[in-house]
Amino acid sequence: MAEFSIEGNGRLEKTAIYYNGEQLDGVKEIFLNLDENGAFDAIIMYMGTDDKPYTKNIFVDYLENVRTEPPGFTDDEARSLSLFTVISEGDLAQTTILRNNEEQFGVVSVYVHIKAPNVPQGGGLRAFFGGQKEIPDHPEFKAEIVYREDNGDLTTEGLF
Amino acid sequence: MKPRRTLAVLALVVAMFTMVLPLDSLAQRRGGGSFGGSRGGSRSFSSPRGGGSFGGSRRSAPSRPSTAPRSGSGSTSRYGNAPTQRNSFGGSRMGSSSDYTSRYGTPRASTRQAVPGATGTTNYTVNRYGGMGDGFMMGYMMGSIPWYWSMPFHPAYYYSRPYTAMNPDGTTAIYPGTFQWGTLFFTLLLIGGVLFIVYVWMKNRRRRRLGYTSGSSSYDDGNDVGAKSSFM
Repeated sequence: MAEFSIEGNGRLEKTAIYYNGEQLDGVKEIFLNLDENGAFDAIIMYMGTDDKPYTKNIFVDYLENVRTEPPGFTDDEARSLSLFTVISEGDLAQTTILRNNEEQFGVVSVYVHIKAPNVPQGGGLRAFFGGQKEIPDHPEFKAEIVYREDNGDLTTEGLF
Repeated sequence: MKPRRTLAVLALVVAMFTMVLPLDSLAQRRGGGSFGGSRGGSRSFSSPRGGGSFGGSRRSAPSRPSTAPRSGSGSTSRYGNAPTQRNSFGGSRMGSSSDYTSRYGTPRASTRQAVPGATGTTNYTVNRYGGMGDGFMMGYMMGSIPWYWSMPFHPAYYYSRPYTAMNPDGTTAIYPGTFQWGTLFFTLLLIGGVLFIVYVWMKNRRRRRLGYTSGSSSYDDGNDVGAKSSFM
């Protein structure tokens, strides 16, 4: 059972990704779409230690060549950050959601899409004249969770 | 980065090489047009066959028969690269003086000047129009053509060589070279192209550097330890 956590304050510059207790590095994109109706998309894109891009299913695939680094946030810093954790085996039935180490109940859906902007990596004549191999993206940071209240109403909250 | 650098250096070298080419001479070799073209094999400077006074190998061709009066002294002294035969200091030979005067009008001043050569002194009718070409014309006559006249930063680069024509009295009429708009155009095109390439290169370089800088300051590098963000 893999434990995947996102800690941050809502800004990409202060967002750390943890996988089984280790802080990952070189992450380019995180996409989580968990829905009580059965949707379970958990994708991570990262640049591996061999400088090649990898796209993996977080809770199913083995994160080969993933970069890790020592924890970046101190305890003081961590107090001002939110920690969102998903513990799962890859299916919705065996999935636990935690916010700041508190298990959550009544979750309808979780949507997290965090994407770092691409840095143009060019080369050759086209890059020399301004052409880029990659179209630079805008950073994206969307993290929402939807709860079902006791009265049946749905409440949407930001995760960070 | 390496291919771009190589390309930029290559473009610069090609552009610089092209800029130092004597474009007017090349144009004259091509022929065509009343001015600046060659008239068959009668021209004796920078000819493609290598027999001119400028460029090519030195050779001693017999001077053409002339009805021009010779000075009795028969001086053999020469100064600079003084021509050894008539019309050999460069320039385009016209059919007649009217080719030039019909286009540029009558000269402001015409003086006769004797230029001593190995085979004797040749009388020239130097026609002045008061422009910058006059000075260059005298330089060509004297045979002293500095190397920087062939460089784009010198005005002489944009002027053609003097034009010559045989007068009925046997003297050789010399007219100043004319401004070559084509040379200017192509030179500006080349310089502009080089500047454009350098500008684009600098711009891309700066943009790339800024991109990486923001990436490393806002997010994380691949190698930094204890970074605040996992994203790169």
